[in-house]
This record gives sequence, C-alpha cells and structure tokens, in this order.
Amino acid sequence: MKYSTTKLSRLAAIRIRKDEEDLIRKKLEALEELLSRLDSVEVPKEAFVLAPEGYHEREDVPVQFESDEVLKTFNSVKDRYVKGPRTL
Amino acid sequence: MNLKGRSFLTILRDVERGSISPDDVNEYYYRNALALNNTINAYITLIKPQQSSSDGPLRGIGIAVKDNISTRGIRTTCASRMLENYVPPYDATAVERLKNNGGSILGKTNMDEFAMGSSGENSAFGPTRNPINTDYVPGGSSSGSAAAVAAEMAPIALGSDTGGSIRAPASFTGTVGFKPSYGAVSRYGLIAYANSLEVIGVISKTVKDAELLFKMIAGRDLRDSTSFNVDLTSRDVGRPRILVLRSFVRMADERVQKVFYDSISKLERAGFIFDYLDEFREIDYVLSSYYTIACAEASTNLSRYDGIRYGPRLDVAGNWRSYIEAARGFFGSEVKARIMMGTFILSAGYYETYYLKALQIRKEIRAEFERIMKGYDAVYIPTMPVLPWKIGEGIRDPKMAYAADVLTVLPNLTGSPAISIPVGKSGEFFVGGQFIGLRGDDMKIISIASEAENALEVVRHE
Repeated sequence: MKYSTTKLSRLAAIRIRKDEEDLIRKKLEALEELLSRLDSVEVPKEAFVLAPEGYHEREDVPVQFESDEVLKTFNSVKDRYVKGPRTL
Repeated sequence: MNLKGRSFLTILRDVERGSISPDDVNEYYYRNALALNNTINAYITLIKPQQSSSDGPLRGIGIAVKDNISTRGIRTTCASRMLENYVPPYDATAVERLKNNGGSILGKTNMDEFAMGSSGENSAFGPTRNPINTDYVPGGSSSGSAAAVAAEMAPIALGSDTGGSIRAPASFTGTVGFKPSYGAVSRYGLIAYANSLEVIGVISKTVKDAELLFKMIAGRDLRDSTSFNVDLTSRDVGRPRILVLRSFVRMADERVQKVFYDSISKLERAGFIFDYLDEFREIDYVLSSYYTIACAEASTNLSRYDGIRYGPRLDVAGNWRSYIEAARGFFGSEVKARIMMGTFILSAGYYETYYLKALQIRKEIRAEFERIMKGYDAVYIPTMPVLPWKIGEGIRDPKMAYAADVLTVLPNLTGSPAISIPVGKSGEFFVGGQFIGLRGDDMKIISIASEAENALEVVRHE
C-alpha cells in the first residue's frame, strides 16, 4: 500500500481509535491483496457503465418534501427511539 | 396457535378462508420475536402489532424489513451508530408497495453495518446469531432477515443484495433468498452502499413465498431511473437446461462440493439436464472487480455522513475538519476500512490503476456470462464456498471473510437474477445452491428453483 493507515484515514477524513488500528490495517491489507490481482490487467480506453433497461424519460414532477410534514412525522415518533440503541 | 413450519402462502390462504385471523398471525410472530431476540438478535427495532384492518392481499400481516430500507416513522439505523436515531420521513418504494398490498411492518432487522459484510458480525448492535447453532454466524449482510425467517420470528422478510447479502444468509440458515435482476425492484429508499450492484429482494421459507412478495414489490418506479418493468408472467421451462460452472464449484470446500454434486444427481432424476463448463475466463478477477467497485461507490455514497447532513451532532473544539473526522469516527471498523480503500482507489493516479480496470473487467464478465448462457436456462453453483463459521472468526480473519463472497458476486456484477435454495445438509448446517439467469429472466429462475425445491425436498414446509 502506498499510504499508511494514518495517511488514508486523513485522506478519507475518518478518525480511527487506537484500539481499532490493528483491525483496520488487517482489513486494508486483505482488500489490497484482492486489488493487486488487477495489476496484470491493461488499462481500458473507455469506462463501462451498466446501462439501464431502456431509456426512461421522467414523466412526473419531482416530489418536494414538505418540511412541516417531515417535522410532524419526526416529532410524533422521536421519543420512541432516542433512548438508546435497543427498543426491545 | 402454532404456525411453525408454515409457509407464508399457506398462512395467507388460511387467513383468506377465515380459519385464522391476521391478528393471531401477527401476535404469533411478535411473541416469538420477543422471546428469541435476546438470543438471536435478529431485530434492531420490533414493532408491537396493531389491530389489523387491511383488505389488501397481505391482510395486514407483518413483514420483517432489513434496517437499511427506509420506513416512514420507524427508526432505520443501517446497524450503525451513525444512524442510531434516524427516523426516515418517507417509505422506500418496496415498503410503500407492500403497504399498498395490505402489508404491515413487523420490525427492522439486524444486518452488517451499511450492508458491508457476509456474516452478520459487523453490526453496531451486536452480531446476529444463527438459529441452527447460536455459536455460529447466520451469514450476511441481511443476517437478521434470514435469522428471523428461519427462527419463526417473521413469516417472510425483505433484504438487500449487493454481493450476496440475501443469498449468503439464506444459505447459512436453510431459507430461500431471491436477488432480483438489477433494476427489477426500485432502489428508492434503500440507503445506498454501492448503487450499481445492489437490489432489494426477499428471504422466505419457500420459493413460492418469495415469488409472491417479489411480484408485489417489482416494477418501474419514476423515482429510480434504473428501474424497469420486469416480465412477471409465470414461465414453465419444461426440462430445464442447466450449466454448472466447475471452476466456481472447485472453490468450495469438499463438504459443500459433495452436497452440491449429490443435489445434481437428484435433480437429474427429476428431469433437469446438466452440462458442465470447466473454465470461466474472468474467474480470477471476479472478487477483485467487485471489491474495487463496491469500495469506490461506498466512499462516495457514505460521504454524506459527516455530522452535518447525516450523523450525530457533536460538540467538538477545532475546525470543520476535526468536526467531520470526529463524526465519521462513529462508523464501525469494516465501514471505515472500505471507505478508506475506496477513497484510495478513486484518488488521482489510482483511478486508472484500479477503478477503470475493474469496470473493464465487469464489462468482460457480463459479455462472457451472456456468451456461456446461450442455449441454457440457468447457471447452477453453490451459494457459499464454506459452511457457517464461529462468531468472531470473520472479524479475526478478514481475508477469509472477503473470500467467502467469491460465489455470490457474479450476479451482482452482471445484474442477473439469482436465487439460493437449500440443496442438502452437511452436519447440522444447510448447504445452499443458487440458480443464476440472464437479466430480466427473474420468473424463469423462480420457476426452475421451485421445481428444484420440490425435487430435493430438503426442508419440508406445509
């Protein structure tokens, strides 16, 4: 890997705790090993995009969120879920 | 009332006849879920059933929904501390369509955080456990959905499949897992991990159950431009012509191979016609291509979790960078590693080295798959190369965990439909086999899997 775990975490703007450093390094090494199999492949001239099944022109008017509606939904349920990770 | 072993379809028939009420059904699964969840940890959020009053075909019966599918007014966490208290203001199209058919939501199921993982071990709310033996993983990332169906905590469930996330847990828990063609089901409301690979699908006890729910959620949606109207007419393929990819089968361990080849003998006796292909040209690159694309898309999709747009609001001294870094520290280690790798892959100088090459290989894999499928109805390979491992082993050995995806990522790269059914047992665990078809041939694959299920009779459901 060209970059260290610390450098990559800066690049991705992610803080890593001391206790997870080793685990993340191991995961990155495993992923890098998979990526290295691509070394023997030639760089293509054009990118590939999985085309949608036919071209669909949008017929509707994009739906706008109504902020009052959103707040009403949130306020009606917020107390059920903010008290911890488990509801059970 | 005991509904143990009953398929969703037979339950619906009994409700239709009036011999059981939808409220009894909901109460049965809710009580089971309450009793077993401390052990299995299949649900992150369980909803107390309300009095059912629906006239739709689903009659108000509760369905388990993976926790990365948006549900209006119900917490949707993606099994992450990042979205611990996130309550979506809208329903995903798949959920909306279930509700329009009279369905309700039984609860939100546990999963690998942001659907990254194939074991169910990477959840901020603790690992899901395999109902067959709770020391072992149930497979992932739709771990809770599969465990809930297998443990009678739900009659049927929705999951999502990015690289095998529906089929892997189906294989490990002895359930049926159907991954539709890419675009056959709208992704609107599915919290994005890798957009070009993922799709919403079904985990159920039988193939017919999966077909029923799939038909309800499938179809074009104006809010997802990649969605299309897949052909939903039932297909009778007569004696199906099946191609076995030996190079994939060889990657499975001996126990899995034995059960798999035994299933072929039984299916041949039932009229299936098998041919064998020894080499698949791109096999060495399938996993590399998948992980390159998935990590790159993940790093882009998950950039919205910065503590401003989504994620926890923090009180952090310093500048914006330290604020965002602290907020993104709420991800688990698997998610962090994949975002970091994705950022690296997309950085200047490495985009061509990895990302463009992976896209090129994906194109070749798709062309190769279409070429070998000529004259055949489906490809048949094992779903997982190994049997379930003990909880914790996947975390300690990430190479093993990533390699376990080798047989499931092919349909995600090609956009094909694939369905995993139990095809035999090895010791106490089930072995899954998957049928894969051409994109759009969803009903053909379902029909073949249904015939295979009847011929093999690995799990008997009423």
